[in-house]
Amino acid sequence: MSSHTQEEIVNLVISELCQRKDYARTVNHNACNSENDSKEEKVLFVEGKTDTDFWKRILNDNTIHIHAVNPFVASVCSILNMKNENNKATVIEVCNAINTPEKSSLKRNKYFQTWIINGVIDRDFDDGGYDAVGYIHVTDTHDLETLMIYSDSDIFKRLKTAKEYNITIADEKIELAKRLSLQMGWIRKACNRLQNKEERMWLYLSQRKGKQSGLDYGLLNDHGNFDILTYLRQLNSLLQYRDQKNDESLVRIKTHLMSTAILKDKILSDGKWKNDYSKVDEFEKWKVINGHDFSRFLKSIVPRAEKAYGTDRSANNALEIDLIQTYDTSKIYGTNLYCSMQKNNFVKSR
Amino acid sequence: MYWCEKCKHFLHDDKCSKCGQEATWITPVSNIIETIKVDKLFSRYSFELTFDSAESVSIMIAPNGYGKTTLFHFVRFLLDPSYESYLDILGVPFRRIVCIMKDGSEYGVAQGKCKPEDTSVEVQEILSSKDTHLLYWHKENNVVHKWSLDKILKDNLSLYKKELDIYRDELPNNCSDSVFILDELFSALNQKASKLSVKFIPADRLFASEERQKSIYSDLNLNNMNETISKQILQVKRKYELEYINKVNRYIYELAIKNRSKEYYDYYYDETTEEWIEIKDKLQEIWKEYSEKVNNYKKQNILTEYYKSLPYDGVLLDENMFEKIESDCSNIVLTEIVEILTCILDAMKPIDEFFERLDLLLKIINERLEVTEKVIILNNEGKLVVNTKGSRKSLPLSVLSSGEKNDLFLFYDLIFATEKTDIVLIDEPEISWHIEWQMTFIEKIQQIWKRNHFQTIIATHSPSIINGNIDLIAERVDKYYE
Repeated sequence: MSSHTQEEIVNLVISELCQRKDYARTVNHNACNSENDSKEEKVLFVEGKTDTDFWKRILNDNTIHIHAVNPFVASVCSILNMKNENNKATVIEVCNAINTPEKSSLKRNKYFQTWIINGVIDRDFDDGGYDAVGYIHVTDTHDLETLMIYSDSDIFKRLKTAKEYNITIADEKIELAKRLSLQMGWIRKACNRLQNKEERMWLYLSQRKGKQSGLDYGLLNDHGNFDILTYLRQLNSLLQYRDQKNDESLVRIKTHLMSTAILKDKILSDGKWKNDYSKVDEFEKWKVINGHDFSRFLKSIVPRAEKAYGTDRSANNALEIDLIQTYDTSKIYGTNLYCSMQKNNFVKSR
Repeated sequence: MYWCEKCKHFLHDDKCSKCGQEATWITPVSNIIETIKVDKLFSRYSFELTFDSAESVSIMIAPNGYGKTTLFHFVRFLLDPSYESYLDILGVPFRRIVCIMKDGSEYGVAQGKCKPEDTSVEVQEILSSKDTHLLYWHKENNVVHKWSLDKILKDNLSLYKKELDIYRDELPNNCSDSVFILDELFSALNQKASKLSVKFIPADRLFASEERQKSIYSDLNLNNMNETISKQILQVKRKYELEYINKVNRYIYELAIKNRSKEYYDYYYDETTEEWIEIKDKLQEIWKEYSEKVNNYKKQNILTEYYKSLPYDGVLLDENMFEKIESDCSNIVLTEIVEILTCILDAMKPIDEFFERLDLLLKIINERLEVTEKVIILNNEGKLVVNTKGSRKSLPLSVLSSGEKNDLFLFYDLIFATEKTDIVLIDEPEISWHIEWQMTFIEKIQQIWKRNHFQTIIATHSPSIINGNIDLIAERVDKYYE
């Protein structure tokens, strides 16, 4: 890997923002046909393209510039031969660099004094700690997709494309997808806690989505449970570990995983789930479930949906985009995320 | 103004507040553009651009078609009027473009019917509402000088044409009447109106030069890049060898003959005096500097061809000769030698400067060529050639890729063609460059700027050129003038 640093990526992201913001400002200026009297210029930094679409719907305010660090960061990292693992860190560092220039090497002139920059990030498995930083807002649940599903309980009944294709997504299918993705979420969380670098590589691989990893979500549906052993075997075959040494490594990782505090009381010694997930609080579940996992599981257990959306990664995005289009925007009012943004005047008062 | 080498930033104090390191003093550029006011460019865009006067580099960003390149043409025309720059703005619809300088002076051009607001020049009284005129003005110390270019061109064209009929035989063959006249007119205007020189490096720098044999934008002819550079090197070598080596030899030779005179020797020779000791020390010191420099030139192949044809058998002042002179000559002769050597060293400065520039160019280019394991060197024939890893044969510059040529072309212009330039305008430097090269461009400009003090304005679409230097982006405020 090259010697480039995260700081350089942050510099490039901010530079890209300047260009894009200038462009958007010109378009707005032409449209308004008058001098822009606005003293403050708001920018909302988000992780990816779907987040941009979501916030465009929620904010419905063209004076706030919504900027996603991806795909720009991905393409820059690819050119610079850098690993791009964490868009979330980039969002945080970009916001830090602009809001606390004294702590960064970034210099600002008066042109940027009027910039107000906030960031929205997925909670993932973080335990928080962002509340003290007023300009970073975190999803209540694991990510934006789960926030939509959690806060708008009827969303699948109204799902736009599903209706067009005459697809009914029954409640029990949703429950099943929820349970599978919850189990997978716990494993992801347990992987996240592993200290060993080699073991964490499993997490890295398990984070890859869609065709990129070749992980078959359909095969993981074993008697209504997400099978940790099948999951590990699949990851193993993806890593193409064929020799004895790596079989040992597979067993070792399995043992380590199952002895973690997260999984210890949830999985039996033979790798089967204790099936007591129903006792878990609904909100806590959505803090563990990864929205991408959920939509993939849902598609794999609703064949008509898979047919309608396809199986590849872009198809997965298509379902998430439909969720955004279907989402009842008034449902976000009750979330902590909305309240946090309201404090910074990034969203209108209800 | 102070400069922090570590943080790459200008400071008002001699100590950097961020890293705590001592900053070096930099003489600021005498006069730079602070604001550009644009009114109805392309009959549409009106805005004000403000540049940070504390910075040597400014970045201009705007969408495509917003007039960045056209604005560069206007800046070049306003601050350094010429026939070429006039051609660039000819036919562009606009109402008024004004450059306001750091010292308060103002350069402006207006076309058509204008309102006097937003400018101190009362344009209305000059321009007729019926005719389209081109009005050029320069305001300095609250005094405004105005030129109605249309009128000047019209009046002078007929006048010059009459004269041209008389002197037609003396005109250059490749110069049409009107070009000749306009060139004359604009150089006269340039002398009267502006004291600034502007260098514009366009986005199509490679193509422009290929089409026109010799680029109107650059001193460098890309088709014969090597010949151009080696010609310059040869000129410098000849100048040095013929003018200075010759002088040294002649003076030393004459002094040596003079010193042989017994009468001269007895009269002035007194090695007991303090003056004698002092002059010997001084001579030693200056001789050391001189001989180091000559040896360096020998290494750089500067002294190869011409010194052999010099008088006195091409003998250079060498160590043996110096020792003999030092031991034999009287104090007054030695004093004369010190004076001569001092003059010679002064005269060598332009040569040193040329090679310092060449070294800087090669250092910058070769750093960037490391990735493909190429090195550009000056060979024994005084030509720049490309050496590649694994190949014994040197290759001509024409083997470079378009990005590498672009790099060499741009940095050559920045280092060699900006010696007496006040403002450098670079349009889209990123063309054909990898992101790595783009990311270090501003750093390189600042490195060059420390030698050649000029204000640089860069127009770019590349985030990698900006590379976090958001403080350098010119503030653009869109306006509506009605």
